[in-house]
Amino acid sequence: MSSGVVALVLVALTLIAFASTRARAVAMAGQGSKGRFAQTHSRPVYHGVRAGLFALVPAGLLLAAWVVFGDSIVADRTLAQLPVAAQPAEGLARQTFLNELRAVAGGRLAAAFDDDVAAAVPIYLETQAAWQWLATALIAGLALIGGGYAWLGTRLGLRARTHVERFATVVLALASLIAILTTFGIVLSLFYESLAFFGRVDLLEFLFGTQWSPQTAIRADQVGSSGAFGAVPLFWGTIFIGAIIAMIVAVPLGLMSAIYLTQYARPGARRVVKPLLEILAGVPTVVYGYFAALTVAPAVREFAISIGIDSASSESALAAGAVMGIMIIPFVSSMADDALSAVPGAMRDGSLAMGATPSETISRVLIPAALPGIVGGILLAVSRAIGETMIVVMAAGQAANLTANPFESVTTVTAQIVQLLTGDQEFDSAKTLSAFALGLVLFVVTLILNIYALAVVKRYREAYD
Amino acid sequence: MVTAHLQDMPAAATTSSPSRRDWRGDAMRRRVARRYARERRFRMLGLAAVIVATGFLAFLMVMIVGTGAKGFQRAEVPVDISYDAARLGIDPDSAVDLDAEIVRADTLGLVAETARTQLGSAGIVSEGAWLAVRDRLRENPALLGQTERLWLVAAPGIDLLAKGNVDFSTSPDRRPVSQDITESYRRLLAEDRVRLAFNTGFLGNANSTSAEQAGIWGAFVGSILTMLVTLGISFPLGVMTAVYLEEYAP
Repeated sequence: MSSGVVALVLVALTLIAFASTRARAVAMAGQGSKGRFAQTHSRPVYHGVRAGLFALVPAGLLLAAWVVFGDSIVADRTLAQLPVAAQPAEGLARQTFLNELRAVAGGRLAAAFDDDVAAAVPIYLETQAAWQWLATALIAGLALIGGGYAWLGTRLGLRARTHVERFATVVLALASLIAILTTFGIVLSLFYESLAFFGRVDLLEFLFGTQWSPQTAIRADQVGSSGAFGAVPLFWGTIFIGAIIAMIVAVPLGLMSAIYLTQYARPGARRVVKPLLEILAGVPTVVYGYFAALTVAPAVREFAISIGIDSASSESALAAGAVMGIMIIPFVSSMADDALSAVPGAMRDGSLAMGATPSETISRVLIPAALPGIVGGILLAVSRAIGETMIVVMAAGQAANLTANPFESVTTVTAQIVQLLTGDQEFDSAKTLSAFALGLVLFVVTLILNIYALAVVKRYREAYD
Repeated sequence: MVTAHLQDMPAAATTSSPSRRDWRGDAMRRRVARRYARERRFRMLGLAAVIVATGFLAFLMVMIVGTGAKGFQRAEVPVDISYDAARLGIDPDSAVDLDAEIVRADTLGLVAETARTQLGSAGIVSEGAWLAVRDRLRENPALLGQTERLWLVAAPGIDLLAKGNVDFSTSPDRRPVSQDITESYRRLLAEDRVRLAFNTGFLGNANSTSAEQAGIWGAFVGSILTMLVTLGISFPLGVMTAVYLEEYAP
């Protein structure tokens, strides 16, 4: 009996429990003086749903456990029944044995290569059938017991509705917990691997060293494998491209666009232009990367050569930073727009009434009033730019470089993580583990930026409410 | 009370030496004009920012559509294929499994020969073009013994030339197409035997090492499946979390 059939049987039992308990509750209600259901605490449908839940939930959990763990239990039992000589060793041999066994048993493989596997196949099929019947019986049994218990417990005064509502609350709370637990899981895995890394490389050297050359030697006399793990050039590259060049492009354009759209533009124009700016945020970042690598970078290089900088690279920080800035414009513009719109109209009107021109009102009254919101928006944009991967992987360089010249190639934390994890080094070498350490630093920095930005924006909103 | 207050105000509270500010004098008029000019400049700056931002978007769209639109076309050349049963090695009357026979037949050789005699060289059609001929025969075995004109996908060099993607200012050995292919293309163009047609293979084919036969169907299906899984996980969880936080959480 496959899991699908068992699931259908479970659903059928649940429906039976629901229908029969509801009928019983209806029968119990009898003829009250104020109408049929006056004497029950809950309407019959709640009794039915309660019974259905009693039938479904324990049996459903058992079914889920069977689906997840059943196969490995059957495999274990099968291997235990084999003669000791035929049992495979732990690790890779065992895995291969089981893979072949499952393939032959499932009919995907016509015949086994290994004689031991061929001998084990009938035992496996037998064990599997036995355990499947056992699981089916247990699940159906649990469903019947649960449904029966609820059916028998139907009374007039039973607070079935309260039980059902509480169950719904728990399910919703669990859903919100899942998101939080997933975040914790990611952070924990980053932490764990980073600890393995910091066991091999000193933390201070990582955070403050200025040489990034993660090639570790395989042979003792291998040339060019110094294994320096100083991440400062990477941090500098990230800040240079993401927080300096991109913000130089995005903040003036985004802020002035927001000012123009909120203060000067006609409502019709604003309705058209604002969505157009949002489209900039909707373009896939890989398209931006491709655009940066194929169009912007050569143009920047030719511009640099024409003004006399001969060492200009075709993977310059300026190309990647400029395109990233274009991508970030909508973030800055949007937050600034919200901040400016939230300033009370009385302040603007008062300033204009005193004889100030609109530009003076904006620069002396509105911007200072909206400043926390605008700054919060810029910080959120910076955290987005720092974490951006695709544009820098395609348009920025791969060699770590500590330079202030925007026409040279620098690399960022995100580009390095991609390079380290898609290479073919063994997984527990210091080189691959350094990706986790970089990821942890990136995560911590963006988390702090986000928390601070959201706190600033929230405090600003409260000041005017 | 107000008048007493005004009388007590010291003379230093007013900023100009006359006791009343001269609102119509030259100095004031100049100041006002400067302020209005600054206002106009600020407004222009705002408008310029909006125009530059939307200009970026327009430039991006135009560049992508302009470069990418050519991917929806492909160069094709006409060949008169005669489905000669003897040449293909198929006996339609006594064949047990006609489809298998067609699959095993030497369609590749037939297409190469036909291209050589009719177009001048076998390298003018794409290396995967024979598959289209074979599939056509499989769909319609009645074509055996007949001749028809098919437009086959051209080789990558012809494709580049037809779309104008070859830079003739570089020296001949640095160009992506050889001199022979260029001559063949010019001859075919003069005889009106090459055309740019809609690239039906782009949406229907999967990855290929031959650029002219490649398509995005595999990648597209992969994207759709990924999106379905993402939606299936994120939509219920997100909505349930939002309902909990909004309605139930203390």
